[in-house]
This record gives sequence, C-alpha cells and structure tokens, in this order.
Amino acid sequence: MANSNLPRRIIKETQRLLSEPAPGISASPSEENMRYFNVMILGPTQSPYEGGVFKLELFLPEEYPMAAPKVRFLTKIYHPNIDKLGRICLDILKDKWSPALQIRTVLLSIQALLSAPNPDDPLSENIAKHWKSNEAEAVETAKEWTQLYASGA
Amino acid sequence: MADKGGKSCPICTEEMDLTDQQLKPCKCGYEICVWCWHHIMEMAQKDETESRCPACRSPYDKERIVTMAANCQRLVAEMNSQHKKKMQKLNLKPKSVDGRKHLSDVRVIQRNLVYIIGLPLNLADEELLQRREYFGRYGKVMKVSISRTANGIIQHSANSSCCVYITYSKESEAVQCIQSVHCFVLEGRPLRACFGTTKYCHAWLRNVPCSNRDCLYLHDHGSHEDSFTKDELVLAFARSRVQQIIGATNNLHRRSGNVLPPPVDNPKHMSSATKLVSQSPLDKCENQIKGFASGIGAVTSTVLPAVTSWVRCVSGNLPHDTSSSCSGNLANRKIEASNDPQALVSGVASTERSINIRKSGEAENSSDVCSNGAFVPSETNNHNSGGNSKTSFMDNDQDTVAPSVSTGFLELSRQHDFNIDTAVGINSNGDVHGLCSGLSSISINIHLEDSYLTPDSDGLPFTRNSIDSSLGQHLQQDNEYSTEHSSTPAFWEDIIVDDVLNIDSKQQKFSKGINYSSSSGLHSSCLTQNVNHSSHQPFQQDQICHQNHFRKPSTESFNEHLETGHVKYGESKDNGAGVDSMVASDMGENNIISDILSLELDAWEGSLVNLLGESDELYRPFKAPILRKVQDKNQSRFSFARQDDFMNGASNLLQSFAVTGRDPEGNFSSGALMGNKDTLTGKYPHVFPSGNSVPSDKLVGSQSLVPSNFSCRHYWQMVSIFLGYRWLGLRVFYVGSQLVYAIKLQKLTKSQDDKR
Repeated sequence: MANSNLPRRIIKETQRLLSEPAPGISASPSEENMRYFNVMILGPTQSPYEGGVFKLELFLPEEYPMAAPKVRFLTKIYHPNIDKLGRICLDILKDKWSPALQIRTVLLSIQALLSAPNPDDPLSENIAKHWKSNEAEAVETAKEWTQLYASGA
Repeated sequence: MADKGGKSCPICTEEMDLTDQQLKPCKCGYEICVWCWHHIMEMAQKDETESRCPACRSPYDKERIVTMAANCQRLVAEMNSQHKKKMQKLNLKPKSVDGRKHLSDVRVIQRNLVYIIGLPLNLADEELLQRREYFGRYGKVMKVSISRTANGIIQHSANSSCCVYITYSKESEAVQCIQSVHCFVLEGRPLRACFGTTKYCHAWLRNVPCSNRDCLYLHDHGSHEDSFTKDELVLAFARSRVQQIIGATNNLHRRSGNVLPPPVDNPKHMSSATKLVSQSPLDKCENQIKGFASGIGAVTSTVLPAVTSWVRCVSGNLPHDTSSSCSGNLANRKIEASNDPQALVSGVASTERSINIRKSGEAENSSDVCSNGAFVPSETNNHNSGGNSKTSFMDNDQDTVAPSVSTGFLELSRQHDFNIDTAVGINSNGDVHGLCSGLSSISINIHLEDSYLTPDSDGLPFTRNSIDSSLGQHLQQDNEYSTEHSSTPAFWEDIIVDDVLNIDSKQQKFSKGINYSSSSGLHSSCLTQNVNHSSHQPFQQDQICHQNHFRKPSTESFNEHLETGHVKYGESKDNGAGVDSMVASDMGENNIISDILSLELDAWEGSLVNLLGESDELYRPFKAPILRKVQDKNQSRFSFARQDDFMNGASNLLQSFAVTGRDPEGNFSSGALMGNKDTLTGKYPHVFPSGNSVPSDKLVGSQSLVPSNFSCRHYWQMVSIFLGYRWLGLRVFYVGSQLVYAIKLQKLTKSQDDKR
C-alpha cells in the first residue's frame, strides 16, 4: 500500500495474517514500513508462560523470502533459548530457514518454543544451568517473570 | 494458457506460465517458478552453500534440471495435444451444470452470422450497411455490429478498413451474402467473408437465467461439428487464409467495383453450376463461356444504376475521389473483358468454389424478401451487455485465480501447520513424558519412602531386640555376679556338693524312706546354711534379702539352729583344729547345743541302729549317680544358684560327718560312704521339723513378693526367677515326702511316739 514496490508475497501474507490470524498470535504491519510487524503472542497453556502477553518485533529483510525474517522479543522473558536482549535461538531463523516457510509458521514455531524449552542448546547459559539443575524452581521463576513483565502489557 | 492453469509460485505467489509449470526441480514434487529457482541457486552460490529444495531441504540436482529444461518445448507441444483431447472429451460429456463451466473457451459457428473483413472506413455505419443498397440486398438484416474498442472507437487495421458482424434472419441469406461478397474487390481492397462465431452467455454458463432479452450469446449447447476451441479456431483461420489468397488472385481478374455486388448473380451462377454438372465436358466449356458472357453483361447492366446511386449519395462529400476510383475500376473491367482465356480459367475456379460453399451449407431457395432494418437502439445495450459479460468473465477469472492462490497458501500453511502440530504433538508427548517421568520420580520417591520406612520397621524390632538383648545382658551380669558369689566356697564344700547332687539324683530315682529322710535333711541343711551364710556377710544386699526371707519363721529356724549346734558340739570333740575355729565364732550356740544333747542322747542312738540295718541296700547305686552329676555341673545358668544351695547343705553335711566319726558302732572301710550314711542318719530325726519348714518356705516366698522396696526392676526380675526355682524344688520335696509317708506309715508313727 504505502510501499508500492513491495513483493506480492508479502502483500498476500499480510492480508492473510490480518484476515485469518493464528490462535494466540496477532501480527499487524507498521504504517510507516510494511516490512515491520508488531507481534503479540499469548503464553501457551500448560506452560510457565501461561497468562502472559509477549510483545515481539518482526522485520522482513530485502532478501525475503530467500532470507529469514528477523524476530526479537520486546518483553522480558525467562527462557533458556531467549537472551535478555530478546534474541531467539531457533534453527529455522538461522541455518534451517527455507523459502517455503512464512511469517505465520515462524510465529507458530516461536509459540511452540515457549511450550518446550530446550536447555541443551541454550542462548542464556545461566538460565539453562538453572533449568537443568532445578527445573521446578526454574519454572517457578519463569512464572514470576511472566506475572511481573508480561501481565497485561 | 496461464489463466487455464491457475497455478502460482508458492514462494513469490506470482502466476506460473507454461515454462514455469514444466520446471520440476525436485523429486518431492514441490514446484516453483524459474525466477525463484534461479534466485535460490544464486543465493546458494553467493553463500557458498548447497542449494536445497524449500520443502524437503534436499539438494537440487542442477544438471538434471537443465536437462529437463531442454525438453521443455517438446513437452509444451505434447501439452497442447493433450489439451485438445481433453476439450474434445469435454464436448462429448453430457449436459450438466458443472460441465458448462468448461465451455467458456468454446466458440460455436453461427450459420446466420456473417463476419466481413476489409470494409472501407467510410462505410462504417450500422444504419448505412443495413440498407438494401448494401448488405440488405442479400436478406433481412437483424443486426449489424462493427468491431469497436473498449472506448467505443471503431477498430481499424493499417489499410484503414474495419470488420463487421452481420446477423441475418435465415441461414440461406447468410450463405448468399458470403457467396457474393467473399473475395470481392471493393475500392481496391479485397473483402473476406465467412461465418461468424459466438460464445456462450456467461449467465447461462453459471446456470443463471439471462436477464437481457436482446442477448445474442448462446443459451443452448451448440452442435459438436460447429464447436471449436480457440486453438482450433487459429488452425482453421490458417487454412482459410490460404484459400483467401487463391480467391483474391482470381477475384482481381474477375470482379471489382465501387459497390457491393447484387444478389441477382447468385441464382444464375447456381443454375449455371447445375447445368455444368448435367452436361458433357465439351459442353461444359461452351456453357461456361456463355454463362460468363451473360454474367459480364449482368454486372455491366447492374453497375450503371448502382454507380449512379452511389455517386448521388457520396457526391456531396468526396466527388473527386469517387469519380477517380470509379474510372479506375471501369478500366480494370475492360481489361478483364479483353482477356478471354484468363476469364475462362477464373470462371472455372469460381464455379468450383461456389459449389464447395454450397455443399458446406444447406441451400434453400429463398425469396428475395428484403426490408430496410431500422436502427435498433438496443445495439448499444447489447454491446454494453457484451462488455459487462466480458467484465464479469474477467471477474470470474480473477475469482478462479484467487481461490487457487489462496488454496495453495492454505495447502502450504496446512502442511506447515501439520508439521508444527506434529512438532507440538511431539512436544506435548515430551511434556507427557516429562509428566510420566515426574510420576515415576514420585513413585521413586514413594519407593524411597518405603525403603526408608523399611529400616524403621526393621529398626523397631531391632530396638526391641536390642532392649531385650540389653536386658538379657543385664540379667547375665546378675547371673555372673551370683556366679562370682558362688565361687567363694572351699574345697571340702565342693566335694560335699558332689555328694549332695548324688543324693538329689537318688531322690528322683528311688522313692523310699531313705529318700524321705535325705530330702528333709537337705532342706534343713540348706536353711541352716543360709542362716550361717547371712551371719558371715550381713551387709550385702543379696544376703540381706535372704535374711528377710527367713526372719519371720524365727521359731522353726531357731529349733534347726539348736540341732545344728548339737552336731557342731560333737564335731569339736573329735577334730580340735577345725572345731576351735568354729567354736571361736559360735560360743553361744555351743552352750545351747550341749543342753539339748544331754536331754535327747538316748533317742539318737535308737534311730541310728535302725538305719544301719538298711545300709547294704543303699551301697551299690552310689557310684553311678556321682559320675552323672559331675557331668551335669555346667548345665545352665541356674546351675550356679543350685550350687549355692548345695554348698550351704555341704557345710551342714561336713558337720554331720564329724558327728558320725564319734559313734563306735559305725565303723566302715570307706570314709565317703560313712559320710553319706551319717548324713542320712542325721537327717532322719528331723522329719517333723523339716515338714513344718515347707509351709514356712511358702510363706517366705509369698512375703518376699510384698516388700518390693528396690527401685531397680532388673534386680527384682532376677530375684523372681531365683524364688521360682526354689519354689519348684520345694514342690518336688513335698510330693516325695507324701509318697514316703504312705509307704513308711508305721515308722513315722513310731518316730512320733518316740518324740512324744
């Protein structure tokens, strides 16, 4: 719309994201830049992040869909695969990216990552150690952070 | 072709043309457009990585893909042929709502529709063309439609000519028009005429009633012979193009003019053809020449009034151009008239072509019914309707394309959703597994608790065992204490103990009077020894307890004490050293004993004589019991208590031995045997005192239970065991005494009489 030279795929994906949102995920493009998306992901049920609303930012680079979109958490979260700057350790955002993947699939993967943390391939070493040594306590800490930073944000 | 396929690249979402569709880069069937594939390869080269399929991430085989691209054109041709077959099959399908949608690309030849190309632009007027002077002369014109662009401007080719659709009321009229106009040179430009084609009404295709009453599109299925697809139309047009070239060449020499030819030629021409068929070849040539001549004459006669009328119509606009072109045409005709052989050849060709055209159509003799068709205002509406139809068609195309695109996205998203759902499912399973592991850990904890409880449950009996063992140890210590206490006696007492054990065994085996006397003697000696022992060690608790036991029956014990003193008095006379030591400790007792001895000396001698008479019967079994008792010394822990009692009795027996040594009648070879007999003799006169002592012992036992002054429970338990043992022994003695009493009734009676 504002950017007339936007690829057709991005236009179609944006329309579909707005018309058929995935459950628990909402993504809306910025008015100034159609490649920049404001994302909100609800914490998955039966996870320490349940009840939390996490804000993320997503940007589609020039090479998209040949290059992976850039995603970052804006809300603080206690997770072994997400560091304090909000960067996400997810293989499909790195070397396992495929042009067949879309914005929708990326956000669903992030939501799945919240349900199943992977402390064996961590981005935060301290949190990963805490998760391995005493998982119950780590889960409690994650719940506390969710209530502290992600409640009604 | 692109509209038909409706495919789009899943990566860039652009439409994929035939070339893109033929590109199959991966075995998994994931198809992408050439541009995206090229981009993937380029990115891979830039990153120095291996290019992979976006769907299955398997590496691309570039050589294989290039080889496939080389065969692309051949595949395209095959696709076309396959497509034709499909369309034919579609045409053969029965009528159905779904089947109608496939007919959107089908064109049907209309037998009453004439399509003319090459008309000069100055004649581009629907009202003008409908007149009798022009196309109205061939039949009743229903509608004239000039090809226009979207803006309504008349389309025209490079040579400034236009195309016209003319709809007649009958097929025969259309045939006449085509026969007359096709390949006719008008104002220097050849005209081409053929049947027009029409497509199906869009409303009818969608099974919706058509709201436009003047709609000229088809509303029913056309015949299969007249139905063609767009590709087939192109091929047909190619063939007709060849025919047109030949026809044009002939027409240049044969017909030309400034106005359309009249339909009068047609009947004559047809009749000439009929005649030719019926006559012989030579006659055919002559007839053709005649026909041709008549034809030329007809044309000439017709041209004059037509030219006049045409000049009248146009003279006001273009008088100069008109007159010049008219003169040119006339000159061409003169030239044609002069060349007879050429005219003959062209005439033959024209005849053959007219016959072919006649065969293709259903020839009917029709009356020359013509009427000036007024301008139909609905033409504009029809045109608009057509435009709307096209617009709606475009909308349909867009609609058909968009769903496929969204469908593709849905499929992609579904695949990914399925993958993610699978992953989520796996994660869920992982969570369930984690929960199961949690449950197992809980069960492990429960097991640990069980294992923890097990030591407790084991510990409790262990504790009890330890308590019991500690109690046992304490009791053992008490027993050891009593053992140490019992180890005090001297050597002689040990020897006497053996004798006492022997007597005890005798009691068990033989129930005779001697047993009675020996048992009573043992009892009295035990009591006496206890009293003496208490006098030696008065300060020990054990001895104090014993003393308490024996204090209350003081009278009986005093009597026994007196008897014991008597025995000691006798001993002191024989053995000086031993007696002196005893006298030093028991001066008071000696005085009392001497008094009693002087009173009862005669009674003692009588009883001794009776006992000596029975000595032979008791001699033999003495040795065997001694050996048994020696072995049985260390039977149990209670043996020490028994030894203690026996030792008390031993001291008494020793004194008895000393007494018997004094008697002159008792001379025996063996000192031990003499001691035993003396002991028996000494015990005999004590029958009644010993009988009295039995109930006194019972009373002592009962009284000992009452004064439980000691706080130490263990000591009390030990004392209870000790007393129980003594009580059991007393019972044995009592039973034995009863039996002996039954047997020795007479002797007892005698002894009682003696005492009285």
